[in-house]
Amino acid sequence: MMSFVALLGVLLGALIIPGIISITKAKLSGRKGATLFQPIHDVIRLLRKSSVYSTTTSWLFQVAPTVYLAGIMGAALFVPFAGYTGLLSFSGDFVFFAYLLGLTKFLLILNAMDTGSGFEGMGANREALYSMLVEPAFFTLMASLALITNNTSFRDIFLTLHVDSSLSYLVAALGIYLLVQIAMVENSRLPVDDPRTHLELTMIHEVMVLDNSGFDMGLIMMGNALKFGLYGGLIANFLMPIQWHPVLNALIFAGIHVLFGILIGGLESFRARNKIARNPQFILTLSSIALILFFTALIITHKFILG
Amino acid sequence: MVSLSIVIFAVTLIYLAIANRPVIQNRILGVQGVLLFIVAFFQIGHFEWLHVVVILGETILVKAIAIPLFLERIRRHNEIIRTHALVPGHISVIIVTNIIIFSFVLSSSLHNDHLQTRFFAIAIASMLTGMYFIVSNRNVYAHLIGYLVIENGIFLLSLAVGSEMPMLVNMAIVLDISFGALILGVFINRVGRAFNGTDISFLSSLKD
Repeated sequence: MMSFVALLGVLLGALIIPGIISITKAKLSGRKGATLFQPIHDVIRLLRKSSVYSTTTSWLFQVAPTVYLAGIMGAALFVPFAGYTGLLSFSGDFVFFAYLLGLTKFLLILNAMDTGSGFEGMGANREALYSMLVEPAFFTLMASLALITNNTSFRDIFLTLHVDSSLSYLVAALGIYLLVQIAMVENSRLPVDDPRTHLELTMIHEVMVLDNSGFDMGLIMMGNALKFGLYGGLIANFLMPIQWHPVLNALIFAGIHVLFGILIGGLESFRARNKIARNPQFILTLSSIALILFFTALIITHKFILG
Repeated sequence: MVSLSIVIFAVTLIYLAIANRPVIQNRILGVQGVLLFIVAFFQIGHFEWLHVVVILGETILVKAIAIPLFLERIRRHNEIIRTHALVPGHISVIIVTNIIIFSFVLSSSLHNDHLQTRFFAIAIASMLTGMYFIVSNRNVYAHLIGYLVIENGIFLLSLAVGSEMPMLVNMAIVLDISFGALILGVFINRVGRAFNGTDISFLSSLKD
């Protein structure tokens, strides 16, 4: 039952986070802005349309958006909820989670390259580079958590992290910071990419899906929203007190998704986009911070003895 | 709280490695000053008003407020927008990360009852990062920032070798930093006025 709650929480996050980001950005820039459900209306409108396929594309282009969404949905099944497992859970599931997301990215890159467009190839190239650079940060973060908790599944990691409370604050603070930044990179948001840009030369994610339309575009937008839900769910697991009643935790889970959306909207409102050449160093910085967390984990577990 | 502050201090070193705008460098120095206050405050075994006031003056007033404000004034006076590093940012991140890892490994191999190795690790990392920052930048302003980061490392080193320093030594260090920053600030202003820029390559044209 609780496993379904986790999945529902992620889906709820996916539904509301894009709207919250848009409202936060509108309010902070003094605009009235669209309603909370405008992104959902946009997706429904796209799903009602049929897709248009270029004659240069192959079956890969038609399949990729569906597999993209399916992969992210598959990853959502692993997100735990306040000490309860996700719908799927096994030892080392975070590796599977990361590679499912990697597979979706790979499919989207193939989708872009299949069009034969130079612009989309450029976007695919950048997306591949940034995904490759951000992966060590995620794995180092998860390795640190696994080292501290002596567990290798999402549910056990978050369960044990809460029991050991004194040092878990330090780990949670850095872990949440890293997850927020990784979520920004993985979702192609500021400062790495700007979803509002209209210049193809500076686009990364948006240029990759230029040829997708109608139903397929709707699937891609659903996948992007779900990714926010995924990372929001992982951050929520850092913060939920597992000894509390599940109903209260469900409210906290939803509340953290709202705060996550406001945080992203706020960050995007006050942050300038990096120059393309500065993006690798920004993402490498995340890996460096994750390495510091890893060494902190070594100290906590007495692999390194520091007085 | 002390552990969290030390780890955040290490994170600020990485951000300093990629910061090429003096405004950001000043902010990082300010944050380091606040973190040093937290570390020093929680390290005092017993609560004494005089000690707290001295630490507050040394860290918050001098390191977190006075020096960054002074640096900001110098920056505006000389219109320094960026400090151009000789090494690309992503290489600097890797180098500083390796410096921090080296400091952890070095500290872990030390076994001395009088040494608090968690402070020692970050102190060494801070000093080496400050030195690296100086050699990897051609701007005198960046050299001043590097000097102050080294000084922050020395402050942490003083905590590593004993829970507290004699107050006279502490005050002497504060005086030393303040005068160091002041003299370098005046030097930067002079260089800026004479050459219309603060790049050290201008200094090679100086003659007797």
